[in-house]
Amino acid sequence: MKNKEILLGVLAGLIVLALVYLLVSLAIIIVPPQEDNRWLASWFLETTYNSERKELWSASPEVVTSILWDYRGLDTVYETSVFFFAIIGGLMLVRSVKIDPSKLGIRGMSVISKTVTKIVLVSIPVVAVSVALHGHLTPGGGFQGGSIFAVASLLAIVALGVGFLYRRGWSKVRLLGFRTMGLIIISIVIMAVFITGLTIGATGYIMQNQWKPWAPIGYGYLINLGLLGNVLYSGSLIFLNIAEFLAVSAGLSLAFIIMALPREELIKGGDLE
Amino acid sequence: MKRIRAILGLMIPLIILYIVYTGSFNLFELILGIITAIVVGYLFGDVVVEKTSKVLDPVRWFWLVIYAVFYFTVIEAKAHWEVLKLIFNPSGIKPAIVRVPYNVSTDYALTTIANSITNTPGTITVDVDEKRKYLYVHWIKAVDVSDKVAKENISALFEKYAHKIFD
Repeated sequence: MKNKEILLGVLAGLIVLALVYLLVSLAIIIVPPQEDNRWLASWFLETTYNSERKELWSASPEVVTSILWDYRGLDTVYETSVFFFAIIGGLMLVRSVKIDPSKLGIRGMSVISKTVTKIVLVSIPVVAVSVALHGHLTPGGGFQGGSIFAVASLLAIVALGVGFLYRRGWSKVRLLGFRTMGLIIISIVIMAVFITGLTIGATGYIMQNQWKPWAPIGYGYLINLGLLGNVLYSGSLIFLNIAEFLAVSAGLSLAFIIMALPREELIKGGDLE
Repeated sequence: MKRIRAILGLMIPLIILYIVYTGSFNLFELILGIITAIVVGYLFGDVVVEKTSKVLDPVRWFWLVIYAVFYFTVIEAKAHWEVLKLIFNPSGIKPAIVRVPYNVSTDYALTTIANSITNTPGTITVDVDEKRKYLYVHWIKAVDVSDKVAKENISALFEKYAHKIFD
């Protein structure tokens, strides 16, 4: 018996070795690193954080966020508004549904799924906030962070029941309020330079981030917090990311809650909440 | 009040998670982490934490670390070895769903036992009966279907540690 077990161990080890050898020798190929980028990519890589060409830069080492919120910023603002109207449209569909939190799904899944979901429920928002706050430094940003946050709401809805979020005060009105607050912050941030320019008589644009030679107003990019050292905040990018995070997390959570409303409630309808 | 206690309990784990995920540490990140932990603790904390003193108890954390190391090395290796023997000797397979009683009081301890059973190859938690305190486990090599023997073979060790960590 003992000898048989040793033989078995050796056999299993040999099979694993053979599989690893096959995988490494056949399946893994070496791709030579790409030496040059296309000129458009090179242009963005060379300008977004190039302090010697401050007339073109956006003061952020993260190229994608620079493009999203600076170079083509208005486009992103319009996208955000389209998303907002989509949520409003969804709310219009259920406008006459009266929601009684005490009747909404309270059972959820088994105690095992519930417990694991609860732990994940406090972990996901932390990751989401980190992604959103560092959008101007590392891949990520407001929309990504908000989407991650919405996963927490989705998990809570599925595992703990829709009633869970409702009873914690995540009502339609409140979530829509946060969503609108995010949009208002975005509007203020994109208008601020333009209005300041109007009042002091200098050129300033809507959605302007850093100063330009012909438009000498901007958000700045570095702040000295004394003991905390210098903090790079990349002008308007961090404010826009935070506002977008607020808007997207509240908006998507609301969309998920609407989608998860029980069918009977939707058919029954009733007074406006 | 409940929420404040929950925030206190979750503060340190959430700050650690924030800093590990962010990948850089300085005083500014620490302050952002503290703010994040407070906000998230306010949002969902009271669902997770029932007793703050339990979260801050170092003895429980000690047993958690011991169990994690022991589980992911010794217990996992043993279970893999048993399944490996079955793969080469399929006549030994004797699948059955057995009833395993458990004797812990908190949801966390129960979840620890159930997930420990599922994560080791050969056994999967199929269902849980909270009222009568039974787990239903699919066992690939059911040597005996009686409650007592099944518990000894499957979950007795997990339960010992789960009790020390969470109860």
